Amino acid sequence: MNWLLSFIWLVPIYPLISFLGIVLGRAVFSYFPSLRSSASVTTEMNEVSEKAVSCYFPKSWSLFFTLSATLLGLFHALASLFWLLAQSPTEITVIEKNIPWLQVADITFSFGYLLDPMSVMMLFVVTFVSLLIQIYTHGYMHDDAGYAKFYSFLSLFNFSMLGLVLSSNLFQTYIFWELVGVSSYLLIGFWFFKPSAAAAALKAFLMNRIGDFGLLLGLLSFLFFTLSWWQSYLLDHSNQALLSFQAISQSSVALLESAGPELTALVAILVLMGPVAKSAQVPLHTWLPDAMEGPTPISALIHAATMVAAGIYLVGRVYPLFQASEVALIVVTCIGVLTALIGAFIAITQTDIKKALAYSTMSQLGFMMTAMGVGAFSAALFHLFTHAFFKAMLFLCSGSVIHACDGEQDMRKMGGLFTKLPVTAWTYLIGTVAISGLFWTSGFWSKDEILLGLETYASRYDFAPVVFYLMTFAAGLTAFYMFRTFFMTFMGQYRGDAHVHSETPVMSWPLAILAVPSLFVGVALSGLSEELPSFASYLTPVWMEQHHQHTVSLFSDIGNRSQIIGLTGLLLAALIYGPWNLLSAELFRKLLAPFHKLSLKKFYFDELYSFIAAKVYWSVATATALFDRKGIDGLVSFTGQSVMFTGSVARYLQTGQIQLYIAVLFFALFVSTLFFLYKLQ
Amino acid sequence: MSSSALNFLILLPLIFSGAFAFLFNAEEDPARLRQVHALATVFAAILFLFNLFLLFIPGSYDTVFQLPWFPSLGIHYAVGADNLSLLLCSLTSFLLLMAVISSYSNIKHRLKLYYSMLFLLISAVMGVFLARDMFLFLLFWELELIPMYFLIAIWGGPRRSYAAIKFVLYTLFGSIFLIAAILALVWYSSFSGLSPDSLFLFDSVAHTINTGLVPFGAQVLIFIAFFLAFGIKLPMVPFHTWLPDANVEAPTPISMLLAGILLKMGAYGLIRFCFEFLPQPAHALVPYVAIAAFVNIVYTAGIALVQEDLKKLIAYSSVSHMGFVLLGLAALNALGFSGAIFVIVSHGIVSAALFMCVGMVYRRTHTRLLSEYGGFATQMPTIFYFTLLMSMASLGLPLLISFAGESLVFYGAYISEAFDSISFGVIGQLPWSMQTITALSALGIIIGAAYILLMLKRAFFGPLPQHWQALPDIEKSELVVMTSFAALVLLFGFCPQILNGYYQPDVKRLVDAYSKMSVSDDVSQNTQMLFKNARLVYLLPNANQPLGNR
Repeated sequence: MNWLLSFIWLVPIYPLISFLGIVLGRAVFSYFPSLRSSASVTTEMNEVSEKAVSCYFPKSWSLFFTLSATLLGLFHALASLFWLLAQSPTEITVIEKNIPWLQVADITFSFGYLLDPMSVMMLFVVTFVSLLIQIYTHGYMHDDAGYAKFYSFLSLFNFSMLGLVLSSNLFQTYIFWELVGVSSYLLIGFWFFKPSAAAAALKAFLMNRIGDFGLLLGLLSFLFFTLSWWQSYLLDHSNQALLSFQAISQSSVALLESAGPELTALVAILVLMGPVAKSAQVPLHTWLPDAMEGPTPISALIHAATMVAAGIYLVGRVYPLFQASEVALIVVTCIGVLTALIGAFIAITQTDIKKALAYSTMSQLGFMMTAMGVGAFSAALFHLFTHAFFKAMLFLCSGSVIHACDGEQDMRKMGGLFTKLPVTAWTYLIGTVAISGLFWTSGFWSKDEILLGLETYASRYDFAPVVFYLMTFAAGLTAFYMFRTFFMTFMGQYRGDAHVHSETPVMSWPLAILAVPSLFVGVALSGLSEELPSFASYLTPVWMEQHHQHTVSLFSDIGNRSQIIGLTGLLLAALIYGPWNLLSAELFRKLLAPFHKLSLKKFYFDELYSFIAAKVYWSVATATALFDRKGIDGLVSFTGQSVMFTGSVARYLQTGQIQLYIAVLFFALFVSTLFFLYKLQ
Repeated sequence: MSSSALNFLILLPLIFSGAFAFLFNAEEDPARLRQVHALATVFAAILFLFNLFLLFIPGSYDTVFQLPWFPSLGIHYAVGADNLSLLLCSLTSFLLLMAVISSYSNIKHRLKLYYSMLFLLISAVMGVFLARDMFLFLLFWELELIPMYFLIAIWGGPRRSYAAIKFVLYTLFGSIFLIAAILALVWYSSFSGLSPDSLFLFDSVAHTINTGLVPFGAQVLIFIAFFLAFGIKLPMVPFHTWLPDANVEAPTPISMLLAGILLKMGAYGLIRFCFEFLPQPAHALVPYVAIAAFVNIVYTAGIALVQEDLKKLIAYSSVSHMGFVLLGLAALNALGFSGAIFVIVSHGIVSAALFMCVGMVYRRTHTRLLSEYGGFATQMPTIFYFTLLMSMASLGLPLLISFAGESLVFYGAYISEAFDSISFGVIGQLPWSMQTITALSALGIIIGAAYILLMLKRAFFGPLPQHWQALPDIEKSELVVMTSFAALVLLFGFCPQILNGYYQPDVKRLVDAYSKMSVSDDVSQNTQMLFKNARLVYLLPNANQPLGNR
C-alpha cells in the first residue's frame, strides 16, 4: 500500500512509457517490416493507403500498453484514496515532493506531486473514466487505420492530464496545461484529412493559447508581486516549490498586501483566462462544439469528463487567490452564469447529437464555475465529480448510436433506437435523468449543492437573487434539452436510412459500468449515509473551508423545487419531442423566432471571432507584410539603387582625358584661392 | 586541457576546407560524389567529436592562448573560451554535421567547392566564437561572409545572386559600425597605461572600460554601434530584410546553418560586447532594447502569419524568435540572461530542423507555396510527424526545447526592474515598464501558435490534392538528421537543466557586472543624461584617470 503511495509519481510516467512504446514501436515496425510477421499481425485490408500499412503496429500491443498504464494508475489512485479516507478528516497530512527542474541563481522551478483530497479525487476520476473509455475505444476504433496512433495519443493525453492533476505548483501546472491542450489538438485533428477536423483542431489550440497567454501573464504578475515573499517562505519550507499550491493561501495574502486590491483582482482575472479557455467558458468557448470533430471516445474523455474540467480544477487549486479579491469572484460568477445559460440555450436547437451534448457540457461547466464564484467550492468539485461519470457515459452512448448508425450524427435521422440499442438507450436515459438532476440520481445531489450555495449567496449582494433564479432556470433548460435529445434519438420511429448495427459487448459494458456511479455516487457522498463521508467534508481539509452544515434529506425544500423544475422541463420535452406529437415544435419556433435564430446562430460568437481574426487581424498582418516588403525592404533596395545610380552618373566624369582632369584641377584651385583670399580679408 | 586545444576548432575545418580545395580533381561521376559526401561526413564527425571532447573534459579554456601577431599595432592571435563560447562552438559543429548529412540529398553539383566553402565558413564561425582579440574577431566576422556568399550564390535558388549580394552588403554595412566601435575602444585603451602591444585584446578593452576611462557618452555611442552591427546579424527589425531573401534562396543545408548559427553570431556579439563589456550604457539603453525585442517578436510574427511561401514563413519566424533573445537580455537579470542563451541554443536547433523539414517537402514537390500544398500527412507520415514535433517545439510547447528558454525569458523579463518608463528626449516619456513590454511581447506566443498551426493545417492536413499522389516519404539520410534533432529537442526539453546549468558561470559573471552598479544609478536619470550630454567634449578620455603613455 505504502509503496503505491511513494511511487505515485509513476502515475503519469506509465502512460508516457506507453506513448513512447507505441510511437517507437510503430517506427521500428515501419522500418523493419520483417518483424511484422513474427508479431503475427494480420493486416487489415481497409487501411487508408499503403503508407498507413507501413506504420502498422499490432493492435493488441497498443491496447495492452495503454490499458495497463491506466490500470496501474488506477491502483495508485485507489491506494491514495484509501490512505486519505483512513485519516481523520480534521487533521489530514498531505504529501508534497519536489525535484528541481530548472534552476537559475536563487530561483528554482520544480516538478513535484501533491497528494491532497482534491488531487486524489481528480486522480481517481481521470484514471477510472480513462480506463473505461479506453476499453470502449477498442470497439469504436477497431476498424480505423489509425488504431495504434489513437491509443498512443490517448496515452499522451493521460500523461499530460495526470501530470496536471498531481502537479504541486503553478509552474508545473502551466506545463501540463499546455500539454493537455496539444493532446486535445492532436485528437481533435485525428481525422486530419477532413478539413473540418483540421480547422477544429486549429481553433481549439488557438483559443486555448489565448487562455494560456492570460494564465502565463497571471502567473508572472503573481510572481512579480510575491517573489520576495516566496523566497523567504521557501527558506522555511524546503519541501515546497516556488508557486506551490500549498502556500497559495498565504501568498495570496502577501499578494494583496503588496499589490493592493485592484491589481490582485487583475492577477486573479488573468489567471482565470486559462480556465475560461480550457473549460469552454464564455467568451472563449467556441472551440468546444467544434472539437466534436474528434472521434467520440475523445469527446467523452477529453471534452466532457476530464480536460475541460481541468479549468474548474485549477480554479479550485488557487481558490484563495480568487477569495482575496471580491471583484474576481464576481467575474467568475458572471462568466459561469453566462456560460450556463448560453450553453443551455444553444443546446436546445442543436440537431447534431454530439454538438448538443457539447453545449450541455459547456452549460454544466458554467454551473461549476458559478458555484466557484459564489463560494460553493466543494459543490463545484462535487458537480465536476458526478458530471465526469454521467457526461462520459452520455457521450459514449452517443458514440454507440453513431457507430450503430454508420456515422450518422444528425438526430433528425435517428429515432426509435430504444429497441435496437437497449443498453445504450437505458444508460442514456440514466445519464439524462442524472444531468437533469432528477430522482435522486448523482446529478441531483451535486446540482442541489450548487443551488444551495446560490441560495446562501443570494443574501450577499443585490444582484445575487437574480443569479439564483437564472441558474434555476438553466437547470430547467437542462432537463428540457437533454430529454429532447433522448426523445429524438431513442423514441418514435426510426427516420434514418442506414442499417442499424447491434451493440457490441466491448462498447456496452463500459456504459453499464458508468451507469452505476451516475446513479449512486451522488447519494453515497451526499452525507446521508453514516459510513461514507460527504463530499464536502472530504474536501474540507483542502482550504479549511468553513462548510456550512446543512441537514441532508431526500425532500429538502430546494431539492423539491429543483425536481419540479426539472420535471417541467421533462414534460415540455415529452410534449414537443415525444413520440406522441402533442405539441408542435414548429409552433414554438415561430413564437420565439428571434430567440430561435439567436440560438441557432450560437449568439454570433463564431461570426464575430472569424471577423476579428480573418478580417481585421489578417488585414493588419497583410498590410504589415506589405509594409515590410515595400517600405522597409524598399528603402533598402532604394539605398542600393541610389548608389548604383550615383555611380552610373559619376562614371561619366571619369573620361580618361588628362586635359579635362587638369582643367578641373585648375578650376578647383582657382575657386579655392578666391575663397581663401576672401576669408583673409 | 589547456586553451591551446581550442586552436584545433578553427584549424581543423580550415584544413578540411583546404583538403577539399586542393586534394581532389573536379570529376563529377555519381560514385565519386558519394565518396566526397562520405568524406565530408567523416570530417564533420571528427570536428564534432573533438568538440564534444572539449565540452566534457574540464579545462582552463578561459586562460587566453595568445601569440603576438602585429605587435606594433597591438594585435594578437588570441583564442579562449568560456562556457558560452564552447556551447556555441558545439552547436556549430553539431549543425555542421547535420548540414553535411542533409547535403546528401540536396547538393548534387560542384561538391568539391561546396565542401571547401562549407568548412571555411565553419572555421570562420568558430573563430568568431573563440576570438579573444578585437582584430581577430573582426577578421573572422568578415571572413565568414566570403564562403557564405558563394554558398548562396552558387547552390541557391532562382534569385540567389540578388540574395547573396544583399546578404553580404548588408552585413558589411553593419561591419562599418563594428570597426568604428572597435577602433574607438582601442583608442581609449591606448590611454590606459597597458602595454601598447596588447591593445586589441578583449582583456585590455574590458580593463579600460572597467577603470572608467571611457566616458559615459562614448560608451553609449560605442554600444549603439555594436548594437547596430550585431542587430543586423541577429537580425533586428528594421534591419532584417536580408534574412528572408537569403534564407529562401539558400539551399537547405545552408539555410539550416544560416538560421542555426549565423544569426547566433549576432546574439553572441550582443552578449559579449554590448552586455558584458559595456554594462553602463546597456543599463541605460535597455528600454530601447526591450522595445526592439517587442517589435521583433510581434511585428515579424504577424508577417509570418500571412506568408504564402513556406520557407519565408519559417524565416520570419526565426526573426521573431530572435526577439526573445533581445527581451531576455533587456531584463538584465540572471533569469533573463539564462533565457537568452537558452533561446540561442534552442532556436539554433529548432529553426535548423524546421528548415530541414521545409527542404524535405520542397525537394519532393518543387514548390514552396502553401496554397499548392495540402494533405501531405497521409503521403509523408514520417516527415509529417517530424515537422509536427519541430513545429510544436517552435511554438514553445512544454517539455520540448524552446519552452524552457522562453519561460526563462518571460519570467526574467517580467520580474526585472530594469526600467519603469522610457524616455524619448524632447518628445517625452512613455510610461511603459519592463512588465508592460513583456506582457505585450507575450502576444507573440498567440501569433506564434497561429502561424505555425496554420502552416501545419495548410501543408499537411485536409484532403490530398490530385497532383500529389506519389510523394515518397523520408529517406535514410534525412531520417538520421531529423532523429538527431528530435533527440536533442526532447532531451533538452525534458531536462533543460543540463543545458541551463552549463552556462550558469557566464550568467553569473554577466549579472555581477550589473549588480555592481549602485542602486542609486537611476536609469531614467541615465537616459536623460544621454540626451543632455550629447556633446563631443564628453567623448574625450576621462581626465581624472591615469593617462599613461599618451
